[in-house]
Amino acid sequence: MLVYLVYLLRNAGVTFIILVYNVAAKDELLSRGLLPHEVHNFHSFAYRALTSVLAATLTEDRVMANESVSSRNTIKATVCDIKIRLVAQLYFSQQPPEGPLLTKLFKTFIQDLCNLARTHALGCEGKPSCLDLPVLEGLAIKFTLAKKIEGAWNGVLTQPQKLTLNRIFGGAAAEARLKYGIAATAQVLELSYLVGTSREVMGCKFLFNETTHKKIPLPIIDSIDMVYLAARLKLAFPPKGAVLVDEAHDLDDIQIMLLRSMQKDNSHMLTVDDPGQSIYFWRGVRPEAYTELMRGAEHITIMDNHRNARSIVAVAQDVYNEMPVNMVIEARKDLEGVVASDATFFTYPLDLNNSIMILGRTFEHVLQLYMVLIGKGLPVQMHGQGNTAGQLEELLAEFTGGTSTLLHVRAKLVLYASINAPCADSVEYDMHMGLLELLKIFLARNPSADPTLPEVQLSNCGRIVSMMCTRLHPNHPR
Amino acid sequence: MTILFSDFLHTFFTSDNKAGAGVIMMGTIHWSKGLEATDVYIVQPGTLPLAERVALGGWQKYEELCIQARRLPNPNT
Repeated sequence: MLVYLVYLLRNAGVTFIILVYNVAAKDELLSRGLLPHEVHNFHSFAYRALTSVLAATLTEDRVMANESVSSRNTIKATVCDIKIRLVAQLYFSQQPPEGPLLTKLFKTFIQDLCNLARTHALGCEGKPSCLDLPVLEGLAIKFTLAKKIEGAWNGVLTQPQKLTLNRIFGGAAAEARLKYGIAATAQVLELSYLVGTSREVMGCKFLFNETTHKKIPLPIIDSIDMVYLAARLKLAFPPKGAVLVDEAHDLDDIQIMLLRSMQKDNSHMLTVDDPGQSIYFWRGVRPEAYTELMRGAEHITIMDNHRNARSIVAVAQDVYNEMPVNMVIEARKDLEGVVASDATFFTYPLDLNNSIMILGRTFEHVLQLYMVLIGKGLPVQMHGQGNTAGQLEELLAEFTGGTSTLLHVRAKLVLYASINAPCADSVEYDMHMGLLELLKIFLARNPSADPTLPEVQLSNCGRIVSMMCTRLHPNHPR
Repeated sequence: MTILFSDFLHTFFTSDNKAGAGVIMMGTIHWSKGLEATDVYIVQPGTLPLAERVALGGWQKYEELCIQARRLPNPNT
């Protein structure tokens, strides 16, 4: 339908832009004949505007400070997926000697709560402040984030460390830890804003990434910041005659703020949504925010199905009937109105002449079958969300500690996962289990690698830790 | 010879999102949103919906049912 609308808009001479959720969706539209300047994903669209504003304002800052300004040292924000963790580390570094312990305990909690606070547009115009503790507490309760603190408390800290921290929290109760974590998150949120928009914060021009052992120059942003900072700084976007949004049921508050800023008196907005496909509530998507955006708009329900055959629709209808969505879907019809023949529910071997996709509910489930297919010699490609490998590497670094064998890390992962289970709603839990599966695959592919031998290094980080141990303790095996 | 597990992690995930014949694409349902393929298989369909999430009720249950519904309309056959 979008392609047809584009055809109409082009013929009418209307300037327009299509905003989609991710790069894959953008690529699909480009493959259908749309032009690169017509399709953007939210992040790249906002990032472009944000970088030009940051470069301009921070260069002016340099000029005021009498620093040299040339085209060779243009200021550009560094994109870092673990930015919030690094900011939390910076914040807790002000509280020696317990800073590293507090970072270890709270970094996952703070990361998740900061992500939710930003997707809810806290700190933006008309929204609660980042320092509004009751709002942050409400998010922590709604998304059951207290278990992130308790998981780290029970699985990462030693008893003496817990006693030390209890003195800071003013008690041993879980509520005291949660309250402390929420207050720290509020400060980290404000600090994160400064880190994303300044050249220097608290006397630091760099943040240190312990995983890669690299200094990252300020300003630093992550993928949420690309849209969040654009919304918080109230950036202006070039006016368009029409704005089209696909998968609009997945819009979060900051994306909606960005859309509002693009609305002009004589412009049009068209959104395509299906409330039965909302799968990002865990990331902070609020259906009410989208309803508010579309209040007063004309709503057209399209029941024609151009994709699925009768047998698939029948199964989907059973699921829809269980949901509070009043929807009756019909099978695909051809131009004469004839219902498409039934699809096959496959039970026979994979046909490599077709495009094939194998999907699972969790990362762990998919990896288990991956091993089986690889064992049969089939050509398989594994795909992840965004920077999955980077996230896994960071997770791995957390578990390497002072040891450097796969067996040690595997044991720690199993312990941590058992403490956090059952919480399969947690993405992080799934990543832990996925990492365990990847360890199995790694060992299966490298049969000569003995997981008990020190030469099987886990990561660059593990190797460095191991080298430091050698230097400090000459009797250490490495 | 030193074998780095982190190197393995980075080579394990490819950035090519385009489905094509001759290669089996694997990923989670969240990853596949917006993509199409001729043949779509579901790993462990019994885990859809995840019982733990449905038991939580509220928005978690609704979202889990959406994920269950989401995996169905993918095939273009």
